[in-house]
Amino acid sequence: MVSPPAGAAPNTRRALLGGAAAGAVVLLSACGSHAHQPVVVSTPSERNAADIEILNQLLDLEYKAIAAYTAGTPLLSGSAHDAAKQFLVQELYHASKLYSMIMTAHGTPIKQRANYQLGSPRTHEDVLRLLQGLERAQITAYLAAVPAVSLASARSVLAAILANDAQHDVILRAELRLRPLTGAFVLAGPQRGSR
Amino acid sequence: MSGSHPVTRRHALARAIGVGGLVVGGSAAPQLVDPSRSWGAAPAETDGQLVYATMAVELLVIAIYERVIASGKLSAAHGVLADRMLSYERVHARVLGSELRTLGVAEPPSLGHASSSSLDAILVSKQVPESVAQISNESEALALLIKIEEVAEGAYYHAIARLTDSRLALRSAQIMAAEAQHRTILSEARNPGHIDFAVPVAFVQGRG
Repeated sequence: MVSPPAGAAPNTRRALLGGAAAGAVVLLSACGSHAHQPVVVSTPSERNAADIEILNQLLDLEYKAIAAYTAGTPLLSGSAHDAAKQFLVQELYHASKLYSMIMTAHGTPIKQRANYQLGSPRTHEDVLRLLQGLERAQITAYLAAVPAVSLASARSVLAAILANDAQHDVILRAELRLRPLTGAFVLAGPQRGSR
Repeated sequence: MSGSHPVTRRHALARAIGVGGLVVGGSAAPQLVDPSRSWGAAPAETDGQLVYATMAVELLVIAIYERVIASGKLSAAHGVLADRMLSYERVHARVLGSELRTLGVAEPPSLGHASSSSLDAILVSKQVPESVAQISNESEALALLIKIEEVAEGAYYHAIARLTDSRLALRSAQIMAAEAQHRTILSEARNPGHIDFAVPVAFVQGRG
């Protein structure tokens, strides 16, 4: 089990999560040309509750990825280290965005767990496999969420995050010397592919 | 733990890729027959119009890939990469064509025989300043492919926010994510090791 080392969190992480905890909507309003559209309905309803549950499941996965990148990045070097550092910041943005969407929907964002079961990665390749596996888990979850959320404008935000996680996946696959592209579509599942 | 790898990401990508007249027929694309409108900024709201618009962009992407490959400016390895991505773009177009038939909407016309100046005019309308007629080196060729992938990302991002059929939204998201991967790989090919170029933003929204 790996707990995210408290001291390893970059300032951006604290700032982003702190902002999210305060219900910040800065990132919400900054996210693209559709920011003027309401992201979630304000009236509580079953549909709204279902959306909040989906968003919280995604947030939980983001927290886990953040913990893994925070713990794993120091174990990487070279281009993999640079990529992981960049991806950690982007995962923090994803988490902050989801947090804001849940707050806007009058939901209660789940909290980060005290620790996450991340296995015992020891080598450079172990860490890359862990991170790539978590990216694949996120891709699978976002692919399930895109058609499931009730509001179309929320779908586009989730698709924007999905596409970014798919980019992370392709870089991590390259670092693992796996074939970067596995088909015409980004699909759910492990999709590890061949070398 | 050893942090160094004898094979860099650039080498891994290079090795991995080695594997590796506008008339609309049919009945239901009435306001899309005029090519100036089909590439214009008029909002498309029905699912049929949205899928039509994304397929039109896919056909543009295909035409640009074909011209870039034909320019001979790509290295052998990057030519293989472009060939592979082009084959995926053709799959996207086929799938979207099938969806349009299901919706009773005619497919947009191929741009395979469009003149370079026509393609350049469409590129300008998509905020892509590069020219298919003036590709002088590999860097410019890759830059054009990166930007056309961003145009595709933008088309799907636009559609996903508006599609009423969640199945079509999912298919669009699957393709949009694939286009984002293409963009990342092309950026790595053009600027190896520059992760800030390859994966620049946390929210992929494309351009155009």
